[in-house]
Order: sequence, then C-alpha cells, then structure tokens
Amino acid sequence: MMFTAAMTLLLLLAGLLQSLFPPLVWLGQAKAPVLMALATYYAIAHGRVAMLCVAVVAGLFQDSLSSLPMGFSTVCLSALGLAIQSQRGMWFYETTGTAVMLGFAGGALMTLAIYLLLLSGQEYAPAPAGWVAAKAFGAGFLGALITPAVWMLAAWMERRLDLRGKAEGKTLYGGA
Amino acid sequence: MRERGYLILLALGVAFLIVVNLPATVAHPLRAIVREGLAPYQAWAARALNHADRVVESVGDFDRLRTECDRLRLENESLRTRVRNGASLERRNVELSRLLGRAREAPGHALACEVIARDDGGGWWQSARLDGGVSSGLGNGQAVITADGLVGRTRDVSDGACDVLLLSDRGSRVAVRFVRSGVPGILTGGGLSPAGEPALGVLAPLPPLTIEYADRGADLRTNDLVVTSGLGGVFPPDLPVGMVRRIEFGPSRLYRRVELTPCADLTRLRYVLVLPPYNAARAAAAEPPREEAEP
Repeated sequence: MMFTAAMTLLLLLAGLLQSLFPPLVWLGQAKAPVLMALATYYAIAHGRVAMLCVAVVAGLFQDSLSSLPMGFSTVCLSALGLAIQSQRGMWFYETTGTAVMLGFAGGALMTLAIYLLLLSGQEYAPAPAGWVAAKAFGAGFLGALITPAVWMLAAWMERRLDLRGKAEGKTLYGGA
Repeated sequence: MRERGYLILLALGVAFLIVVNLPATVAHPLRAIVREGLAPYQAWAARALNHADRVVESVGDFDRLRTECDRLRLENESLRTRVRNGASLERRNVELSRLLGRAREAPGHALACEVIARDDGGGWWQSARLDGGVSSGLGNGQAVITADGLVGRTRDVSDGACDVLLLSDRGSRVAVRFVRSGVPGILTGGGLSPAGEPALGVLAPLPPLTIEYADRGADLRTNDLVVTSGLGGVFPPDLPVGMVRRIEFGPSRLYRRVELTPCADLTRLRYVLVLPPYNAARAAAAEPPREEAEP
C-alpha cells in the first residue's frame, strides 16, 4: 500500500516537474525527461510489474501533458524499461554512472522514437534533421543531468519509508 | 505467488494494449482528467515562480524599487484617468453608433487568462497552457492576444485549462496582410525561438515567423507592420502580428520570403486575452467592404 502511494507521489511530482522545467531553446526545445528518469529508476531498482506500472502511468502522464497521441510515450518507456531490466546486473547497476548513461541514452532514444512515431502517424510535419538531432542531444543531456537526481530522490524516499527491503530491488542507490 | 505475478503481468499487458489503442472518445476525457488534476498545481507553481522571480529582482535594489513604486503610483493615477475617459468615449461611441443606425454586432467579452505552463510536456509543439477552459466559456480555435499583438489560438480545451498553439509553432498558419501595401500572405511559424532570433537551433537555424511566397513585385519594406487579414475564419482582422525584419528572394526567385519579428513577446507570456469566437461570415455581412490599398 505504502509502495503504491510512494510510486503515485513520485509520478505526480515527476509529471509536475517535467511540465515546469523550461525547454532548452538552443537544443531543439528539449525538455528535461523527468518521467523517463523515474521509469528507469523503477526498471533498475524494482521488478517488472512495478516498472511496467510506472511506464504505463508515466507514459499516460507525458502524453496528456503534451499533445502527443495517447500511448506513444507508454510504448517507448515500456520498451526502455524492458531493455534495461534485461541487462540489469550484467551491464546496468544502481550507480551514478549508470544513471548518467541511461539518462543520456534514454532521453536521446526516446526523442528519436517519438519523432519516428509522430512521422509514421502523420501527426507531425517533418522537422529539419539538424533540429531533431539537436533535440535528441538536448534531451539526452538533460536526462544525464536529471536522472541521477531522480534516482537519488526516489531511493531516499523509499529508504525513509522503509520500502527498499520489501520491494524487489537487489541493490541500494546512494548507500544503505 | 508465481501465478499471481503472471496474472499481474497479463493484466498489465492488457492495460498496455488498451492504452495504445485508446479511441479518441476515451483518450480525450483521460487527457482532460490528467490536465485538470495537474492544472491547480501548475498554476500554484507558476505563481510561486513568478513571486520568486520578483523577489530576486527586487532584493538588493530597494532604491530602484521605491522609485519604481512612485512611478507606478503616478502611472496608476494616469491610467485611472484614462480608463474614466475611455468609459466616457465608449458611451459616446455607443450613442453615435445608435444614431447612425448601424446594427452593432454583439462582440462578446474577451477573457483574461493566466499562463500556467510554457510549452507542452515534450517540447514538440510551441504552446502555452492557460488557466481558463470550457467552464469559462472557451472553445477550440479562439484567438489569443496580449496588449502587443497576436499570440496564437486555443486548442485542446478541457474544463478548467486549455492549450494555446503559439504563432511560432511550425504547424501554425495565419492569414495576414501588410498594413502599408495591403499585400496578403500566409504566416507560418519557424518552430524554435519565438523571440525573433534568427537562429532557432544550434544545428538548424530557422526563422521564427515567415511569410513564404510573397509577391515579388509587391511594395514591401522592413519594419512594415503585418496584421491578421480575417480570412480563414479563425482570427479577427487587424490584430497586430509582427514587423518585417528581412525580405529576400526564395530559391526559385519567383517569390519573396519575408521574415517577421512577432509584436507580442512570446517568451514572456504571463497574462493573455482570449477573444470570443470570430464569426467571419457575420463580420463580413455587418461591415462595409474594406478598401484595399493599390498594389
């Protein structure tokens, strides 16, 4: 129960923060991918069920906050979460370095994936390739900055609520 | 326990499929619920940020603040006088209109709204979110302005909030005309920097507001004012849109391409006015034909 409440609170906070962060005008209007950072945290620190729950809800949040068709972000976040979980313990560990790397890769790849989905659905006029590249880089850059902070905050909250032992995570971010 | 896990995964899979294939009739209310849920917090945060911004600006400069306060008092008095005069002029205008026997179209009321968020959640569109929605009488496709000029039009209106597609968005199209020469054109957004800066992205410099395919022989000059033409039925005519900053020939040299600087500062929107829906057909019937300038 407390785990669900904490997850809901983190999702609300991430959605609000993402809507408030100003975009990087010089890098394709890229916005800080706070919801993506939270999804990667649940992918690295918790089981598949929790990760998919967060991916579905975070995706709905992201699409509702923008004009993206419903489901685009859910697909991307779920795929990202599954990819991270498949390599967890082999390539990805709950460390700051991994957070930076996943934040960068996740932000950039999600931007490119959403752009391709937008183009495939004819919802969006094709943008200049340079702009898309700048936007992907900007999202990756902001993801690399924001993801360690989101991981730290989420881990701190779960430790304070004594949820880490009960959850499926195997490692502790930021020390026990 | 393992079976329960599989059942949860199965349920999540079904939920996933439902989300991806949500019909518009369900997606729209869902989107509205999320927006409505977050709108009060966004408004609260926007106000808090504005307050913080003002505090930061004022700290360490109390003298300037006092001078500013005195100046504002004077300005307030002056504005009060002007409002009183304006009300008097409005009354006179109504009386004269009646005397002339002109059937005056009920204009409705422009609604003042506060900007509670800038840009959409992913930065794909140039938009802003307002704290007014269906409950305030707003609908899709209404013109949004500031005191300086046109900002954009409403879209995705829910009960207590709505989005504004800014002029600078790449999907924005506005029918405009040059005030001095009367030449018409279609204004498109460039996408990234709404402040009139020529470079909008590090790798892809794009102009913010452009009129493509302007007549190559037309009399166009820099600093010409461009206003809405009223064609298209979304924007009322004569709303200031931008000033010409550069005129150049297109690649084919058959047309000219005109870059504009927006009249309204699209980067610092705090309060805007949403105009009532523009009924182009009724307006055209009510008004005498406009005399177009000689080309």
